Amino acid sequence: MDKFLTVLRREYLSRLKTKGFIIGTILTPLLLTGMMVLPGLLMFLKSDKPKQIAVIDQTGVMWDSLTVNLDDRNEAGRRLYNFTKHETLPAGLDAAKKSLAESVDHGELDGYIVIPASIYEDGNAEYYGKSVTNFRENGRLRSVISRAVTEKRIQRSGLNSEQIHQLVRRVDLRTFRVAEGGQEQADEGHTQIVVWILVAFIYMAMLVYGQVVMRSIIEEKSSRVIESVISSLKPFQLMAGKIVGIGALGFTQYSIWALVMGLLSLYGIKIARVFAPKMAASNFNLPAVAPEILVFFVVFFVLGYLLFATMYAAVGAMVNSDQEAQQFVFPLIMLVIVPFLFTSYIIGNPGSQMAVILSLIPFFTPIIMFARIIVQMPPVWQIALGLFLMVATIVGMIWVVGRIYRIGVLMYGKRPTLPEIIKWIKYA
Amino acid sequence: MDKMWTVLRREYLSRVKTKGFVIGTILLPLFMLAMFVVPILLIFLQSDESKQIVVIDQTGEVFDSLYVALGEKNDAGQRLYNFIKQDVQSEELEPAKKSLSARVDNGELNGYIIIPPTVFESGAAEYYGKNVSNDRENEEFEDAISNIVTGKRIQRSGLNVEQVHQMVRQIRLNTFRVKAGGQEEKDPGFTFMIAYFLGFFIYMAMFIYGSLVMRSVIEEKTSRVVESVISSIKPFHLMFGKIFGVGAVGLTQFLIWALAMGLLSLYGLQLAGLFVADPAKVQSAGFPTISPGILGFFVLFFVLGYFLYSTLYAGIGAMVNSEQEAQQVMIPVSLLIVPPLLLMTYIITNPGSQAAVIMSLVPFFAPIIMLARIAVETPPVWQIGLSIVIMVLTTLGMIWIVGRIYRVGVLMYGKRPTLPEIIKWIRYA
Repeated sequence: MDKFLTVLRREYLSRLKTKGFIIGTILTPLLLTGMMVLPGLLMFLKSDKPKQIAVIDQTGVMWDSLTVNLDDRNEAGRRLYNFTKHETLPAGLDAAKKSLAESVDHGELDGYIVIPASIYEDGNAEYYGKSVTNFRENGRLRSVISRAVTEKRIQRSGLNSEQIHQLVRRVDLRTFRVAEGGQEQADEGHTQIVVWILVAFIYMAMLVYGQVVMRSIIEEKSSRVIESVISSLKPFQLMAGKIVGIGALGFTQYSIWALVMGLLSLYGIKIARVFAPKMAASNFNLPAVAPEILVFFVVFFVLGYLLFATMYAAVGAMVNSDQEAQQFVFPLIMLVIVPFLFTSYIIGNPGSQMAVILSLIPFFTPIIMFARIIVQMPPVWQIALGLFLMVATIVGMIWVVGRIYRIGVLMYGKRPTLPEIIKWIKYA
Repeated sequence: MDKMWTVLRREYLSRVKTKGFVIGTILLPLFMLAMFVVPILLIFLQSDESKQIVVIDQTGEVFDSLYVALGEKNDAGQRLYNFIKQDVQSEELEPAKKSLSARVDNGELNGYIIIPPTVFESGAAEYYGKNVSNDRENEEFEDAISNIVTGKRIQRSGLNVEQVHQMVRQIRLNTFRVKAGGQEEKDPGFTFMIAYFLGFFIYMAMFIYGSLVMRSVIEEKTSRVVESVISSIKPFHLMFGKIFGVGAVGLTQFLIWALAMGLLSLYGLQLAGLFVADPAKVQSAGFPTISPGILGFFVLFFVLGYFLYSTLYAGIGAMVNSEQEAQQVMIPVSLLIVPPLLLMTYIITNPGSQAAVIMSLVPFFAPIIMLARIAVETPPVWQIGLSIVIMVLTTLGMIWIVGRIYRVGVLMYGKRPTLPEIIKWIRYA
């Protein structure tokens, strides 16, 4: 027990004090936020170059509403869409299109729109451009033309357009979640965000820290340090010390992040208000996480980590180098990725038969059962059964892996085959 | 030169012949496909449990139509949404909600919908459920109720429902891409997919094969094999043999995939026709085609990007003593590869913007960004030329620097070199 603590302390402290840990703790959240936020921000970044677009308007009346409604301007106050009217008779359409296509090809024009006279009936318009992959822009063009066409249609029929729009206005279905005890709370997608973030955290914990355990074993093995270490303590103590020590490290890292996130959610809005008064004015709320969900998070974090760290430790003990380990790691990664892929289905159907079955498979439980708990509390017996199965699997795994580890760490040379590994496990 | 060839052949053959290569070549595309397809399939997978939902319809006009509109049944012939009508007076609404919430909580009900008498004017209804995170279901309810309510509104005003819907129908904007030479091609979003996939492939090539070079250097270094190899070959030749050999492995793998994809797009339609009853449907789905010009650019940027990054990775491999150390040193290089991938959506949607032009001229970003731009619209020739020239020059410079680091680094053990030490290495004549 004493030696176990020594290993634990050493594994924990030697990693905690490295620059890598500090950098990783600071950089990981920054990187993750960057990855999530950056593409989103860029989508709203307007292109600053004015676009030259020719319009062939065969209806003769769409031109005005197009130029009035698409009046975006860049910071210099210039129009982003410079429309030019291109008059042509229906008979000359093909020739006109051809010459416009050439202008586009030469770079004089960015694109051209064809609004046929039949648009009121069949609702088809055409947009030709050098690139037509800007879906946001295509959507704007479409909705502006749509609106204009609708107005004209209503005008023609002699009705009041305001009245028609009132008639066809959609119903807004507000959603409320009935939480435990029959309490209702408005839910506009907050639950989903919470599920995704927490599940991603558990997913990372199982993948990242498990690999750290494996690497640490491979390193000691390939540098032969392990031979002298094993001479003074039992292999099982070493393995357990490593797993718990690195687990404690992961827990420390997560606690730091949780603390920062907690502080941010308390003071973040105030800070945001200083920098962006406009944003803070809109009621922007960080989704709140119920305390019992945090408890479950810790439980599944710990159990999930133990399960995967044990398996990673076995891989580390079996192989001779990081390169060899890659092949063994692949199935382990699959075990984590599969439930992650199912998350969106589970969020939508947390009570379905498939969700129940998946959440009872020990390797999937940490992610799937946890997602179910956040979205809709499953029956107590299912949670209990899931936890029980996981603990039983972990105990079994520790027994098996302990035996593989005992022999594996002192084995070099060729990689053991499956029968050999089974023989190792059977050794008394 | 002869020795470099030997190294190249050894690196190539020793990798291509392993089981790992064969398995990886087969598994990786399947795996990627699964990653893309499974979540999409799962969205369409709807649970077929029958849900009990109470509807408090205070208008008295919506329930019947709702019951008919959402009348789907599961395989067992049960309704997916078993709507139960409950009449509640306005003043009794609160207690009714309370008792319904309690029933939802203990599992008797899945949820309840409240349609207030004011729905025609206010356009607001409420849905209470045990789980309201199923976006598809929420939308189904909202669509159905919206349709019913707008229908009733129009009827009340004495107009013709069909006619009103005709008037407010959205138009379709069909998009066409004007290609080089002024040719027009219908493009309902294929270009976007192609650009994204090609960019992603280049990213993978640079990342995976680059780190393969690094691992190979580290492995020889830690096993001290490099010491005996270096005694009979110049370090520079060893490095180059490695980079070329692994690059050839990568190219082989990509060729196999390209061939498989080509065959699929030729015969895939016929195969699909065997399984799907309605071949016209498959035909119209169509596989996006990639023009040979773009494929040419793909190979070019693949090769250039691979050389640039594998040189960097080889340098890292020479500097460190173990893979664990390499993880940290790798971070700056990984930080160079990832941003273009994140920016890809922006580049594809705004290929001609200033940001896109500048990014595509940065040599470390060019392989992904310039290729994406080329796939979406043809940028001016001078930009393509300039970016290629800058990339080649950067790669040559890198090779010079890394060659010098490599020469000293592969024989250095013990503590990781500091930056001043590395600069000293580079300066050695």
